[in-house]
Amino acid sequence: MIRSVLFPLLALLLTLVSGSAQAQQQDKILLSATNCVLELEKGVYHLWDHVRVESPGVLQITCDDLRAALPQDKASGTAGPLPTGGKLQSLIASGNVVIELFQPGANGSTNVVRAFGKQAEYGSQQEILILTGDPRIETASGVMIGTEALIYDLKSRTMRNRGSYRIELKADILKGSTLFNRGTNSSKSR
Amino acid sequence: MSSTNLRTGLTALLGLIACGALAQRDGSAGATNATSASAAATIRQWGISLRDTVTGRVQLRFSSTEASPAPSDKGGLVPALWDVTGLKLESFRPDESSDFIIESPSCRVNVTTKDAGSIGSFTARREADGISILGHGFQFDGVERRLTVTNSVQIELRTRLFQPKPASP
Repeated sequence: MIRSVLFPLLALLLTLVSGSAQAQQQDKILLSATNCVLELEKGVYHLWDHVRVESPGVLQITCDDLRAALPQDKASGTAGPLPTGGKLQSLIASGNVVIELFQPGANGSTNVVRAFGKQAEYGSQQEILILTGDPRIETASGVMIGTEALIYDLKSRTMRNRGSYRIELKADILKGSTLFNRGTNSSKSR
Repeated sequence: MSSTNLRTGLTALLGLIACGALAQRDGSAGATNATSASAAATIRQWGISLRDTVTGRVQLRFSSTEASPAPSDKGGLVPALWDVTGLKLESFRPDESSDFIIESPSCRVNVTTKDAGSIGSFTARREADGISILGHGFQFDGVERRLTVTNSVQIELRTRLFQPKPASP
């Protein structure tokens, strides 16, 4: 019962952060690494060793290995890749994956949501981000720990899981919250 | 030499002529290597266009401020290998529109295998999608259009990581 309340709560907090981050996202991504192989014609990029992906002020990913595919413009009849719809086709980050989502907070502070796992996979068709390999998401409110996979749907902005999960919420998050003061089947609070 | 290599060599030679390459003897290099006078030859405003053998369309264009034939492993000269300064390598799409442009202050070019590489710095960019690359230590395979970087790379993509959700009414 308590899970059915806490899970949406954490998902809601994550949604608020990522939703705001998306609204501010710039059309720029910075990738850096020690090594890379770029298949320029196919639009397939493989980077490894000290990989960092950054959308300035919005999000940052660090990992050991990254494979990214940029959309191909089939309609143009040209061999080279061109952006279609302004997004990546797919992205697979593996090895010590850390994803940080930034959101400007109150008084000039920055709220950060951190996701950890052995692999993170993003596909533009389904618009989902799948975190596997001891997946863990940390927010200012608490931590969500999955056993198999945590899946974030970017379209519906909802979080779901594969396998079991555990949520640890910080006690002070409920301080002053009206979440549990909403109307329920029980009698009115005194 | 295979017919393909011969054809590529001839294409490269024609490209050199077409680009109006001007060969000049480099006095300082000649003085330091008197036994191989031809190795001292430096070509200024060097350029080679490599074309598709079937369609005749330009695939790659190498140009540089200076180029010298690189000595082979046996100490002789292999015309396919060039040590170039101020390289500009342009790759073209099948419709001959510009694709990637790679620039390097100093690198070695093999016009037979269509390779270029250097342990030094380089930049690459593509106007069509705004991608730009900066790095150290690269090898470009002109046949596969594959760029390998071995000592730090920074790539800037003009795209979004995720598609923003349309604003609700």
